[in-house]
Amino acid sequence: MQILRKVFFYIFVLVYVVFCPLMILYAMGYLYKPGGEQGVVKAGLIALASVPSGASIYMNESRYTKKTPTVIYNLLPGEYAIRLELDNHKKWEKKVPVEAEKATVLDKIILLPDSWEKQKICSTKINQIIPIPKTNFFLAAKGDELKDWYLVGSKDAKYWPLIKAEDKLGNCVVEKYFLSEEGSNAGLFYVKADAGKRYLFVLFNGENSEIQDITALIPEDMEQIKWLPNQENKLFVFHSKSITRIDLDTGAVYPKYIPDVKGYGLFGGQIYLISENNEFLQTDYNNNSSKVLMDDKKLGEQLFGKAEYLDVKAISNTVFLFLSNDGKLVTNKLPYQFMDGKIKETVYDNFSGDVICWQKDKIGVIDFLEEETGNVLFETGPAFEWAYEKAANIKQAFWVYNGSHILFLDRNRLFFTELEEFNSFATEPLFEVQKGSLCFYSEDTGKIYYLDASGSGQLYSSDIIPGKGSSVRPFSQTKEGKKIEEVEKLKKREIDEI
Amino acid sequence: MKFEFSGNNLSGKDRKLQRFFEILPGTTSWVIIIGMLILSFQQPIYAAVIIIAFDFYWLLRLLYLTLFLIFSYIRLTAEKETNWMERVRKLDNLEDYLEELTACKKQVNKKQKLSDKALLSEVEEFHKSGSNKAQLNDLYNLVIIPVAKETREIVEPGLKSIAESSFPLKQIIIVLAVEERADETVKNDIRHLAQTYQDKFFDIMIFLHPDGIAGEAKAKGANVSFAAKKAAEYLAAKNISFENVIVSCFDSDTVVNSEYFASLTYYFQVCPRRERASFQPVPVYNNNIWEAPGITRVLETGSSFFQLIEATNPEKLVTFSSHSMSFKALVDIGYWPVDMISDDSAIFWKAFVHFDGEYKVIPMYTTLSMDAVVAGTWWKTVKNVYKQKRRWAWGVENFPIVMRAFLKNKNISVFFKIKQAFKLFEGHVAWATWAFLLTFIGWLPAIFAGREFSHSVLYYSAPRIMGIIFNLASFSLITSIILSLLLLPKPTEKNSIGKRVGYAFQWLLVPFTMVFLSALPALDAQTRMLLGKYMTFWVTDKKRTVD
Repeated sequence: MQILRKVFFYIFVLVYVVFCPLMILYAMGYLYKPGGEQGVVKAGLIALASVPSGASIYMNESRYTKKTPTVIYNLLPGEYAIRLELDNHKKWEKKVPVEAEKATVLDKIILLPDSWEKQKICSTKINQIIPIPKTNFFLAAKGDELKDWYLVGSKDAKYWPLIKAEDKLGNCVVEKYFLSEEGSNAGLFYVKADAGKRYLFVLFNGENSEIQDITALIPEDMEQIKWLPNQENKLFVFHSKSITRIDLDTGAVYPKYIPDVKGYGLFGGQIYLISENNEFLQTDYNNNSSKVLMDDKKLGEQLFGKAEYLDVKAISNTVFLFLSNDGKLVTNKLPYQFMDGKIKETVYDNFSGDVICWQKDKIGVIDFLEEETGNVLFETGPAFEWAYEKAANIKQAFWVYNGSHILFLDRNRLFFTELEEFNSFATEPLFEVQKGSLCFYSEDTGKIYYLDASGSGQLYSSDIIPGKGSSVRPFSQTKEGKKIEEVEKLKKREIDEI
Repeated sequence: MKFEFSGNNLSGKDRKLQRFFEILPGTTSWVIIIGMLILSFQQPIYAAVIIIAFDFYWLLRLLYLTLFLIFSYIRLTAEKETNWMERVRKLDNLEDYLEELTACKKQVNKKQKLSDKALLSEVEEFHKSGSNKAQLNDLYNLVIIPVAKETREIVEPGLKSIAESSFPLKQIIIVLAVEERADETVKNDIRHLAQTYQDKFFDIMIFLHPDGIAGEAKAKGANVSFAAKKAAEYLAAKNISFENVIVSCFDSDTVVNSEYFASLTYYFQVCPRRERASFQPVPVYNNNIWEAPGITRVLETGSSFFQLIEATNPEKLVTFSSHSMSFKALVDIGYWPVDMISDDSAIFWKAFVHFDGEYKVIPMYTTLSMDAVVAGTWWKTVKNVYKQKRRWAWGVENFPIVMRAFLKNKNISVFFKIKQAFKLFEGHVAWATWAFLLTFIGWLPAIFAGREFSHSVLYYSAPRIMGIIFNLASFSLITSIILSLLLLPKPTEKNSIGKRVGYAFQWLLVPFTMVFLSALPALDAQTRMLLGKYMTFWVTDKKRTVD
């Protein structure tokens, strides 16, 4: 037994000593290609995952044995033509580079359907959709009066009137509305009531939305108002080159408590300001501990000088966007200004760290994670590229599927752009929506909500990422909603009879 | 070499060395676990490479051990039908026996063939050694059974099984080593048992171990050493030479088969240097295996397997649990340590050091059975199992003492010292770390993967390779399931097939048991030693349903 043990021991040692390094080298992408001049080569791989899954894979016209999601191993460096095919879906094709020892990851492919299925959400005629950014809700307006406005939840397909039917404020006409861009379930409505114009602060909460008349607290010359999610009791109003703080809990107003301001933004419980002197400052809500983040006059003049007002957005503690009233977009990262022209809006994606920005006819992406500094000889700053430059009038844009795609509304047509690491953008037109209307996209459900192009005003949804949310069913009406619908039917019948 | 085999009452350099070596195993285990955690986070590529290398090493080692588990099991089954007593008798006429064995015999039965081959080899080796023969009539088996709180129900089956031995009962001496602190109920039970079996054996004695003797821990080793000393006086008074006495230190629940003592005697007789050897049977936990929950069964069977595998490598075998040795050797080395928990393994190391490395363990291909941990409720059983495994893992307390002994000993070759020390050290560190590396840490590089690593070939290949490795390892699992089923006794109740099938599925608990009821207790024990929080002895709860 001892001899046998020794024999086997040495055999296993030999196996380990020989195969372990080979295994590790294989794991790292080293392959042995016998014959020719190849010898040991460094291979790469392609990781593919699509939505929907189960797509057939063609690589350089040869069909691969497996379907998505899968990994194609042992590929020599080079370019491969990958094509995915799935019944009832458009083909997806791309030339994909493979590098040695690297994985080319294409794990967020969305296969677009040949024809779009629409799910009717409700029959009530809607005039407009107003997305509540970074939430699972949007507002749907049937008319101008507050009682015609509904809060719609994308997750459970329910909708509720913003205001109870018996509330007299329901007859107020909505002139303006302000929503937070940071994912707050609250909105400020500037309405015209019989007694004059009023500011109504609404905390959206299903059928229990709370409305607070804060007209007395709001400065007359309010230009901009901001608040953060979960801190809706603190409002910061920009007017007359200053900031006024309003505490809704106590009704306290701190008028112009931060003066000489020409731009501001909120992030992480702090206020970020551009002063009249073009300095960039950070302060707490009480304006007690203020910190100068940038006081280079020359730079400040260059970046902020001509703006009357600047909207400050914090991507993180170290990355900021500044969008002026005249559409100039600058950041605090070199080269500071990435594009010329008037930028209409920006949307930041938490997952990828990228920012969409668009002009009337172009939409592009700033990639802040591309930045490489420190130990590199040639530092690279954030990367910017126009994804699509043939638009007519881009009105909205959304990040889709963890920052891998952009969905944007150009005039009344939806477009879908796939962002790729290989600096190529593939943009596909999707379908049309009602003229003049907006859309809402929910990343949680993977659905786009829109008004039908026929002009019927009916609210529909379509799956952008199929299978992500619950199965489609019509919005289930609340009791309140049902009652309103019945009253409308009755009114319509009365009108018809008349 | 004269060496005080104890970690207590040290001073100066010895104390420092002792602490250093006490700290070493636990530190190493924690460095490995935490180091891999940090590496997975900071350098996932390096971590992934190390994990692949480790997993592959683990696979090969597992397959290697499984191979020898199979060989050992075959040998065990080959000896199942052996008439040990016949061998023992025939050894009295060694030359004739050797002639008989070497005469050509065609064995149809392969198992018999294997058994005969081993027998021939052992007898030949003994004959060549020229050592003195040990005649059957001169030999005595001294059995020491420690009792702390075990009642009659636990102790009697063992006594009964000894009384059914094929070995002449009048050459068996039973010593019931009872702790003074035991309950009166226990003491009364033992007295009754002694009376019941008085006439069966050469003698049956009760020695009451006084509580609170200076320098002693509340440990089994102290009890059995006291009993052994008393037994030495008894043997001397009876003019029984220590050289002719084989002492077996059992647990209170140990049950033997009828051929056990015959087998032990045989191994003693054919051992060329019987006073430089311990004799280790294969422990199984079949007394109450069907009453024990699945987790316990899997663990205890794993322990049996470990011993079966170790039996194929006598050079590295260490005594465990119930074992036997020459009484003379026991006296020469100064009996079991009285201040150590792990007396079963400590006695081997004590003898090894005392005899300058000229000491080994002879594996016996026969089983003896003990109780699996059963404690009423499932949760209590799990807790008790944990404590038991921690106590077993406390065998790491031998390491610092052995290392100090090695540093002082000039007679053992350096190579041999390094080999033994490494085996002892590596065994304990592996015990505490491998399950964590395999179950949790192996997957961390993928979880902590930053962008750079998640876009590397390694990120995708590593899980694939690990998957293949684990699939191959399932050969070991299947083998273990099959062998464990074969080792099990027949269920006493009906639905034996259902019970066996359920038992097979309980092996799927292995990942859980290996981490929480094997590695974790080992890490616990090493950490306690590292921190100087020495363990006190905890007597395992033993429960058995009385038929």
